[in-house]
Amino acid sequence: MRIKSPVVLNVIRTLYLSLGMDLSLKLAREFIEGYNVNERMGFPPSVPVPVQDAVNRIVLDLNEAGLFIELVEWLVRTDRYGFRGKQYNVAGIDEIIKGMEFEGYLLDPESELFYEDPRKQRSQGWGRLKIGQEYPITLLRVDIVSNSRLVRNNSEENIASAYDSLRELITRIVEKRRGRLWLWEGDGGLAAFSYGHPNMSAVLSGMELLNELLVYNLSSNPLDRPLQIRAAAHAGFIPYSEEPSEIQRTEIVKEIVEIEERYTKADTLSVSASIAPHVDGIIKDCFVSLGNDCPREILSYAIQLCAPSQRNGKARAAWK
Amino acid sequence: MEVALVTRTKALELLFDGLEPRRASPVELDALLAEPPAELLLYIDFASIGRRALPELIERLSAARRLHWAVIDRARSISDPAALFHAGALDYIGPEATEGFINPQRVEAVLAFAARGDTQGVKSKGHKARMPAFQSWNSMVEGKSYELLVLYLGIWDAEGLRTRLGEGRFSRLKASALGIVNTLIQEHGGQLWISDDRSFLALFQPEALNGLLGSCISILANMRLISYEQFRLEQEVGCLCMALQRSTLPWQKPGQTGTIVSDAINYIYHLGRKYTSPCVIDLVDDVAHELNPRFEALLCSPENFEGKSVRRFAGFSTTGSAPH
Repeated sequence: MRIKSPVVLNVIRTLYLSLGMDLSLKLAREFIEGYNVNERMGFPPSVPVPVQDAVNRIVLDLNEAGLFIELVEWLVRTDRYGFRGKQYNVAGIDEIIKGMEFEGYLLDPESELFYEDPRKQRSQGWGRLKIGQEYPITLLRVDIVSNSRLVRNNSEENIASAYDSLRELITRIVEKRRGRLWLWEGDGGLAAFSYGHPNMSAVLSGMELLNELLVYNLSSNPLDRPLQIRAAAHAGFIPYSEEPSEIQRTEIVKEIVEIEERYTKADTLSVSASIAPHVDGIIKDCFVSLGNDCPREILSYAIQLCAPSQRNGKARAAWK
Repeated sequence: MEVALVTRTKALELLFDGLEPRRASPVELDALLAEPPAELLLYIDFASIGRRALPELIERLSAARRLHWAVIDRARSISDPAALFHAGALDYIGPEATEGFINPQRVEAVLAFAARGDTQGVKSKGHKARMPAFQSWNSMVEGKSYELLVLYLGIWDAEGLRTRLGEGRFSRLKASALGIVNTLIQEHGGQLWISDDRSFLALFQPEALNGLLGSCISILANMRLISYEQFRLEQEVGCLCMALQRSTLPWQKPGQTGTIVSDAINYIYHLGRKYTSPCVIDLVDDVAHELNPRFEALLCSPENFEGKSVRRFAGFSTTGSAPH
């Protein structure tokens, strides 16, 4: 964050007015172990540092250490839930949140963490993830079925058009749920979710993708056969990297590839056991468990056209 | 002059002698009415049209000034054949007509009758002028009739939902449904025309048909997600039902539609409220015939509702699947 940014100045003022010296020091030690403001400012231990100078130094130090956003998130949590059992009224917190928005960060109401405003910037790590650090992430993997056959039997132009449409569709569906498309190769890709309700977002995105792809195949697919995908959603911890090869080597990606390749049929979405408990009932109702057919506990979703004969309801209608 | 026969039955070709009429299905009638070829005499088999659709068809034929048209009325659907001539018809073939009744001499007489221009004179006095073409919503003139697509979008079981959810949550659901209609309107250049506590009537220009239907199908495919994410329902899936027809409507601005008397509006409301099921789209046959063939192939066979043929897009079902 820019030192002269209004939000930095607001945070300094808020610490001075609302937290005071003791709490500001506790705050600094939450992020930097053993933080000593006298040492940082060259004051002997016996000489008290003026509060205003101390909070100024604390904020600048945390900013320098790349922890400014974490500091603001701490203030938001303290304002809402207190700190170590005690309630604090953090003055000017709304102004600080607005200031963060101005700087390009939105507050995720669910996790109470800031992430980059997608209208201003869309980076792979939401402007927050740090390379090498491990984060809980939910992944959605998508793979085009019979890619080689499609490429062999269709003109280059039609293939490019269909695959571009698929990529645009995935990007739109994923990004509207605060996800990011991490990898995209010729025949599929990997999307990641970290904010909001990442597990639900991955599942809903996978479902919407299958639904929209069915409509695309019914209406404007230029290929000689339906464009089919297999999709899988899985969650776990992943050390963040911007190198695709490093992401692909992680355990969670290997697991999702296995779920997608071994246990997922064409035109279906598989949801792993790590996600299934977090899926709300109204959505889970349209999944079936693969049960004994599969060594992993996987839920599966597919959508198909109601045949005219099913109109009065043999199959589970999409709305039931 | 070329002679064409609009009918569903091949048997009517026996009425012609010494002529080889080009056979066209009633579906093609809309295209002919939109751009009437000057050198064409059109015999229309009214038995292939459906009795309730006849008044509207006659109105449209009457408005198509360049079109030479005549009527074959085997079922005697028209009680006053003279009125057809007032509307611009050039010939009337009743149920008594025998094989070979329409021959080159008769066609010559028909054309001579047309050349006298009498019918044009009657038309200009007694019947409304050719329908103005759609240009933009702002340029539409109040009181004039326009050919438009009418989309009915209703909340299924609105009263039940209101009871189960309470007024506040139902209002939010209705606002979300309105958001869906507004998205359709934005994407396909439409206009929200009439709305009440459980349904919306939106107008689109006829060219928007295939794109609009694609978006409606997409809404049905995602109904469960819409219920969860937009309607914020936790216990049940909220359903929308849709109906689409092409009609000639007397134009009034939204909010000033209270005085409109229109069969077309009555019909689409009846269709939406009495016939349509949850999560389906019902298309009145004249719309169904103009569809992209891929969409048309998805429709169920026609069923009759209040005298018009209606075809249904039956929606989607969801199931899981076993691994390979």
